[in-house]
Amino acid sequence: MDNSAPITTPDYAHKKFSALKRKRSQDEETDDDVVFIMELPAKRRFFRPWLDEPRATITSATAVEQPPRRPSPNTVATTYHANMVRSHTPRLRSPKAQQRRDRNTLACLLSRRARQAKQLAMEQQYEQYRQQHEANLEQQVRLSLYYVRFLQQTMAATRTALPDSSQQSLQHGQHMHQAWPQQQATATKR
Amino acid sequence: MEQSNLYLHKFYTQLGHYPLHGIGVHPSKLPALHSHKPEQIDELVAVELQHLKTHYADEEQRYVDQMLIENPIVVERRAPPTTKPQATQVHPMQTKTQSQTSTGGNSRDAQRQRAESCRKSRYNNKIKKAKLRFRHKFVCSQLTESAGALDYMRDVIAQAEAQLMARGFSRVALERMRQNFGVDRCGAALATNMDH
Repeated sequence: MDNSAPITTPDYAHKKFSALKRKRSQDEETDDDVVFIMELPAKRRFFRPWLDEPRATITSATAVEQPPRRPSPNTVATTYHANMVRSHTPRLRSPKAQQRRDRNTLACLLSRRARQAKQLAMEQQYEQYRQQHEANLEQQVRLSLYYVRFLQQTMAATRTALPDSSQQSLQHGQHMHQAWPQQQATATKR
Repeated sequence: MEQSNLYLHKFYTQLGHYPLHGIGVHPSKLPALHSHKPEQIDELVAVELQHLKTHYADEEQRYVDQMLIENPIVVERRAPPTTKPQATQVHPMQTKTQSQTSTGGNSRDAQRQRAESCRKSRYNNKIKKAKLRFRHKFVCSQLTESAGALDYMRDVIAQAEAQLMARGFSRVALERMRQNFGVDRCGAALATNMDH
């Protein structure tokens, strides 16, 4: 889902984004950017710590500026959605309260990303397991064909050639015939 | 007996009597006259695999639906939905502010519409996530089962091969047959691969 442009409908417009057209930052997705906990910064209009200037980063954790941003495998799930930023009227808060709000917003963002990453991982694992299962099914078909068409018949053919051991092999053959796995059988039951 | 269904299925396929595919199996295929050409084997395998995949998809869908019935998705609402905002009720009485109330009504309508869309989207997303969870659960169980079945089949086949070789069958001939049937193709995992 790509929400690069702010969506405006006749009745509902993002005033915030029409008023201030900020270029969406494509590569702001490394976690380090949002790890830092800032003391109350100078007044800024939007809460976007990952876009803040270096001067405002009195950080306790890692710094904002990094050399080249390294694309991580998880960035796919963490695209920026302009629609997610709400445009409520700004409320006046005490510095401490604002700081609390900022921390909460940051925490929400991180947990949302973690959830998205987990979801993506589950999807990928599902796909991997499904393909593996398909490969297993194909192998089962091949093994069955090999067993039924070749091994059993060859055993039967060689059995008649060796009458003295026929009883043993007959029992063994019957045992294998009866004990052949039923997974495919349940699949092919119509 | 269920366990012999697979054998019976293959057997009937060979004889050409089993109508299960809906595709006519060549009646000329008799067990004794079967050639073990790789192309024929591949064709048979492809047809059977397609049916197994369809069956898997059906079973998965059934499982997911059943799970959704047993675990219904609920989205809470903050407040019971109101019928209409009050401004529109007094609308006929306040002609001066008619335009304003209609604008206000519009924005309220838009707000309501947006809330409804949000709610529907949240609900659909919840359902999508639940479906993925159930599908994941299903595929895990199926994979464990198929990996275990594969191990068992390989054991049985190894025993049969050992018997054949004890009767003088050449290993080279066995290997050739195994190649014909594509039994040693990579991609089939053992049960241990599941343990990450």
